Amino acid sequence: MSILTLLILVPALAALIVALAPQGATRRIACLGALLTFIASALLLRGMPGPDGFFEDSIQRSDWLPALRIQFHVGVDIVSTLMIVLTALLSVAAIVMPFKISAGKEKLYFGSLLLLEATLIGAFSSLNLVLFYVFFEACLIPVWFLAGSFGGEKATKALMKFFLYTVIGSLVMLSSILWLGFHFQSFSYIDIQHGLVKEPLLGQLGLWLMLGFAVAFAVKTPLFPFHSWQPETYAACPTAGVVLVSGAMAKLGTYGFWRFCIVLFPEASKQAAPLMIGLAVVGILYGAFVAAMQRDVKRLIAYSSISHLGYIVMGLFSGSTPAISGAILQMVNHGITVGGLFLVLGLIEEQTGTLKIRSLGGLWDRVPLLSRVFLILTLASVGLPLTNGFVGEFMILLGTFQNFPAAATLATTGVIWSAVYMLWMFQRVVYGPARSEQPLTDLKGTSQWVLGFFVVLVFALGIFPKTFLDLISPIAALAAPMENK
Amino acid sequence: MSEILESLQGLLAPLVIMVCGMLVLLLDLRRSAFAARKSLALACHIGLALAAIACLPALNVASLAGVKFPGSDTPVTQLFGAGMTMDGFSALLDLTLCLVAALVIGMSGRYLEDKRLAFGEFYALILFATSGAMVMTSALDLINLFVGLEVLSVALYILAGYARRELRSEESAVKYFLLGAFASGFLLYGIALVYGAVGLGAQRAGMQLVGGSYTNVMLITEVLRATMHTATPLATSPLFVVGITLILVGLGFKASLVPFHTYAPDVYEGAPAPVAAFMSAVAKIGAFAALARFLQPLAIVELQTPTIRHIIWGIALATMLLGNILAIRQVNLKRMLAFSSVAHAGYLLVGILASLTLRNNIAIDSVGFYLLAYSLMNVGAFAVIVWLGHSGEEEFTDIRRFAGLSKRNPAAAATLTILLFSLAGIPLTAGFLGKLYLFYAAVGAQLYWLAGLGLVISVIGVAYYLNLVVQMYFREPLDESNPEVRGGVAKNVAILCAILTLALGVLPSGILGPPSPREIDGPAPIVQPGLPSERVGGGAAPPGAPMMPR
Repeated sequence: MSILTLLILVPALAALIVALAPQGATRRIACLGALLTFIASALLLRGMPGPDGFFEDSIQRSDWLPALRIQFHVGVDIVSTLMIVLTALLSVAAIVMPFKISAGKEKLYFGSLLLLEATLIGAFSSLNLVLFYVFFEACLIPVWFLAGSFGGEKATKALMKFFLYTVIGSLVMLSSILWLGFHFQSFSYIDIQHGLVKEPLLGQLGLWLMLGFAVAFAVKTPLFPFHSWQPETYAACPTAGVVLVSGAMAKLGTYGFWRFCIVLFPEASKQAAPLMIGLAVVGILYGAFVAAMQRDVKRLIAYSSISHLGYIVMGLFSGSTPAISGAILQMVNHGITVGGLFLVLGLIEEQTGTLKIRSLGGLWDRVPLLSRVFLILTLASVGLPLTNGFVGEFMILLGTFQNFPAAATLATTGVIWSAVYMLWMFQRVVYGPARSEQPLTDLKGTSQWVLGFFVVLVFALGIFPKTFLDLISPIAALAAPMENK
Repeated sequence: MSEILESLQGLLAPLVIMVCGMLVLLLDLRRSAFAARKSLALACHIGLALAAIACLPALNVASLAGVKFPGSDTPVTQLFGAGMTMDGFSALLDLTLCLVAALVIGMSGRYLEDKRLAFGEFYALILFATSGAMVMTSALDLINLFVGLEVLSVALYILAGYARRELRSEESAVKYFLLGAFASGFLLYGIALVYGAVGLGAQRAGMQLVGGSYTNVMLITEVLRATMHTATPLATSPLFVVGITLILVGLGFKASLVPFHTYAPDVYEGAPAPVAAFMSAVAKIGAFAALARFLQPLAIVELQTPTIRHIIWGIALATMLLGNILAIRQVNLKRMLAFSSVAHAGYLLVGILASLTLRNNIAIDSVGFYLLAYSLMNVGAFAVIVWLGHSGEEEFTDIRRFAGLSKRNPAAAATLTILLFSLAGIPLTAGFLGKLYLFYAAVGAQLYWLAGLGLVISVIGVAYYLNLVVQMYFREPLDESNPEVRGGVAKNVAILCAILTLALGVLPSGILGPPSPREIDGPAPIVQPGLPSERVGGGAAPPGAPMMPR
């Protein structure tokens, strides 16, 4: 049994135990499950890449549905490893963080979080297209229950939208998968990749198949015209859920773009690059504009997320090695930054009872430590040099400029916009007079450690990005089809 | 004499059930009030279990790739002079039928008590209907198919009106009977036309040796093949096309295909909930098994039957679309499930259409698997209806009453949620794998448009199934009462269905097995236990069997 199977099973089993255990023990069991998963996921980083880039000892291939030649086939390369570690890290943070949970909902809360973790890790490690689809779709359900049972009655319409959007997207992807599976008589990612190298699907057919995948990932990411489910779902979800959804589940979209669109269909990706980059740039600017006008911090970060993920998509489709490396690095960076931001927001919301910008203020003196962590994460999100956000965005813009100068120029203005709305928000939320006399408590205990770890990561990735880039670049070079050699 | 015995041995399952049904009727005479209900149910369950055991040897065929192409190299097991058969496909469906009947008998006990309905006849009718459907799954001859269909239908007509003190139930029975009798007429007329067309075709092709029945599916195949390259191929003869279309009408009614579906919502709503569960599963299994087997000869004349293919294509699309769209507006769970069962019939028809080509060898398996998955989830959903609700009141079917069920009765809400997710085709459930299987087969048969449209249409399904989940989990309850009264066996049945649905979705390999033998080069002859091997494959034909021209 590969360690990946364990990584999927441990959180899933923990969720099962949470469902059966008495109410009082749920948090401890959930924490234990998440921590175990995180430690095991860190072991993945030691893997040695084989000829395909996949770690030899991580691969497991066993029969699942022999009649259709569908196998339980998991394996990771460095990109999926990073995503899995990120998912495990965010899950630990989300579960360990001592948020208050309304009585009687602990089981649903922890169970959903753990299931979400299991399905996300499953999706990141699947090397079988159907298996990937199964996990990709299954991760909807925990999010849906989290948002539905904590978001109140108002959320149900938003949730319906969320579910239908994603299901329609995935079904379009499923038709592409079915076609590929029948054409190559295998659903294995590796087989199909080899098949496509030998016999590339050129022209219209390849383009349509690629776009079939792209629709699903555009919804999940979300890319510009498919984004409308996202802010409302974030608003409905409890904070810990949003940490996982924005930090890890959104990465499933960008990861999918990389793994299934760009690596499998290099030619078609090149053809579709202007479209995808166009959408990404529109998303970058649109997300920034709308974020600037939000009155609620959670929604503001949601829209800023659309903007930031636009950079990643742009970098992935730009076809230059530095931009792709940057985009992959930025996936990790964005997960850490946005996850940290939502954790901070969760702590603030819990104490003040609101995240309306207008009713917040004067936090700097009252909760000094929390405010400073908030500042660092805000600056990382803006992309200040020495923080992690800078390296990724810089490489993306630099690389994209070689092939798509106009798009890169437009996107660069987005950096300015993000500084504007983030700093303006920070000013209104943290500085100024206090709007309420409630006593606030600063970071302490667990939350201090968790957020401290995030701050360390922000700087570590910002100051020593080379360690990670060295890991990523060989595989990014594989996926840069339009490099003018 | 010994041949008859061997044939009977091959077809033990329907026989056991039929005998068990009669036994139940006799035992029922000796009962004292309600005291004997449990023992009667036990007798039924023993009978069904015996029948299931009788099916097992045939299932032992590596996978459910059981339907053998008549006339291909693989021998067909012929029982009763080639009128019946027993192969992996019919064995799987027979097992499903046994399971469905057992579940329905299990869930109906308290329900019948609540409504003060007699149960002896009820159990017997369920068993008779089951054996009728089993005859349909095994029939190789259109006449035998018709007999099986009538045995099934007559029992179902009575069952639909079983709550005879309720007006809706009566209405349901009358509606079902009138329309059903009409559909049977179509089927019979279609059989007659096919008989004539095949006879003429055989004469024209100069097949002097042909004897026996012109309604036998193997004979039809032979004649289709013999006349394929002549000036007047059977496949294009108007008589044959009209005949097949009429058969499609007759079976389409039982399968509730659009435009023959109109009875379904009224009948399901009016019939007692366990009967609706039984009807939705058993009638579909019988009808689709028959469609799969009797349309199969068309595979060898793929290019000569565009009309029939276009008709099926159109019906499949219309069925998926209308079933799903009409289900959205329903506020009664039974009506919603009725329309959803129409939609599922559409998906199944996609699989049937995909099987009508020689290139494709998984379509029939996918239909079999989907029928099993569909039966489990649909019976489970109806079992939840039986489970809930207080005695003496109307059934618990108003969707608004499901609001906040997760707080009042978490077990029922969780069970129904799993079943609804499965019906919607969300991964990790049997419903998802079934759909995947069907649409994969459709892609394999190059029905790209139909597969694509079907996938898109199934999104509509997600909307209304989820709406119910939203009601149960995210809405505030109308009242705080826990609507559980019947609990008992119906509860266990619903939970069992949900567990089986999940198990089939997560670990399906037990049922689906290894790749079907037809994919491996060369035939894999399968010899039935109890049958001398030289007869399998049509060596020395039993008396009365058609002589196959060489």
